[in-house]
Amino acid sequence: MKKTLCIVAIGQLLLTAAAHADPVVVIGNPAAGPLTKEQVSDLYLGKSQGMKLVDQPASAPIKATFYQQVSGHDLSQVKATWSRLIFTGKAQPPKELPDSAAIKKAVAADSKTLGYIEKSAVDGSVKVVLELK
Amino acid sequence: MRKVIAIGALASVMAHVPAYAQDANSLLSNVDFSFSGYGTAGTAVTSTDSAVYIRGNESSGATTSFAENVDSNLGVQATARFNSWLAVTVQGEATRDALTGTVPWAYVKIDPIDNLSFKLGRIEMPIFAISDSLDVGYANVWLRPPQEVYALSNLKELNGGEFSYSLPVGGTHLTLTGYAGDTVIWTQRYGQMTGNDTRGGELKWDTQWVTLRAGWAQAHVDGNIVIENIPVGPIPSPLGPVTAYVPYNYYVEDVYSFEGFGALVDHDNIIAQAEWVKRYSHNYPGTVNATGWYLLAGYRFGTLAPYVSYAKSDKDHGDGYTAAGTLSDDQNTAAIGVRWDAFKSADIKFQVEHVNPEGTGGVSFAFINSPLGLLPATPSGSVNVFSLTVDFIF
Repeated sequence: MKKTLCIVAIGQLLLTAAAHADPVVVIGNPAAGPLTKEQVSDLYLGKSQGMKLVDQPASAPIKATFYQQVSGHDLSQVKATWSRLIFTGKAQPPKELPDSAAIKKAVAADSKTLGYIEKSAVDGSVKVVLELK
Repeated sequence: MRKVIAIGALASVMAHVPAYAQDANSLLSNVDFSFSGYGTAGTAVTSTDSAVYIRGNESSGATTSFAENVDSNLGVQATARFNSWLAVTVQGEATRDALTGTVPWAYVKIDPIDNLSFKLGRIEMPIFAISDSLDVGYANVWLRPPQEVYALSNLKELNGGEFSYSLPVGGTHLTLTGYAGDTVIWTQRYGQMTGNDTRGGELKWDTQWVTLRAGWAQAHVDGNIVIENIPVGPIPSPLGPVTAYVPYNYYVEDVYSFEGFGALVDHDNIIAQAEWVKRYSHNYPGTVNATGWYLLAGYRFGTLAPYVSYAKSDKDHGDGYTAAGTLSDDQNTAAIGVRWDAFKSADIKFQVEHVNPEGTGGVSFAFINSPLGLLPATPSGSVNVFSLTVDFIF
């Protein structure tokens, strides 16, 4: 019993370590310049426009981490904010794509598209414009 | 010769048809359709049968019997986006009060450059801070907007146009919105009147956690309204002499203005909102002029967000005021409630209000039919209102 608990504890430690070791990064086209946390927060909460945003699916754990780190808001707050913008025609919500690979592809293909993925998934097709902590 | 021309013309038309068809096909295949919706299912009950508690201009509402129509609604929205600068949106809404449904939004949106947009068609005007999203319960912390402020804005949706320009200012955003068109005005007391030559604007300053806004709107109001039923008689009848009541029609022409200032704060777990608004009339100040304000404060504990609010409306009791003729009267409400984000796209809210109409007909109570016409119902003292809703989006 003690052994099982110990293994579970180690497993949890490893998971936590993995989460910390693989931070969320905001990615843009290779030609894009760096962005501040405030700029990314404004874009993803509909306060400013001018970029095409792509988003992770609701089922991906990275989604809650991203919004919490960039804006301090949980997903319910983010949804409430967007429901006001969508039903008054003020802004277009970010487009949900199935996974990080699809997000990388969309960002690589268009200089005005912005997304976020795990740092470990970054490759030469995209550029990290902001690393979140 | 004529035949040749005809054949030539036909051939040229034939040659073009597939090309047009292809254009239409490629245009349609690039259209991005999206559907979404919002709704509220709720019930409310009060501590009195001496007056009917309503929201806005509803025709029926809650007493000591539960009423579902006060807050329940369902809205659906469809958007067709043709490219990065052109989209068409239609929104339909049904409420339990008016089963016929309404179309609050139906517009073409054009974004010619970044930060500038135009909407042409039907829109909800941003008269007060939350006016354009009042019906989306999920978007708001409160269960129901403070009637002392929001029942004062009685302009319906606008048929016309709106522009909005957002200017980035050192990490903040300054947004100027202007609109013009025709609308209708709906009051419980006098029914519907036209609101032609309506125009207004809003200046909004958004930072990371504060929004400050100032808004103004004006409408030219006119229409035939029934002021009261005038007793005529006694008239002989088989049952003996009776008094008949004849509607007294009156043509009204006026200019209504609305102004409002608001501050919204959402910082870490703190929520705070405050607004001050005024409604005034050029020709009938005693009937129309009123001031309203509210304060709301809340705090998020995970998925639970308890809040308290206080709202007050003061009718201008100056020139021309009569208790029977006024659009609304004095009232204050203290409320306590909680929003619980219990599900992924739905919340549950509970709110208790202590509504004090200050000895008048107040703001939140349905007018009653009498032989003399519609008259304000005056509740006997303060009224407690208990409400439960589920708001959802899809």
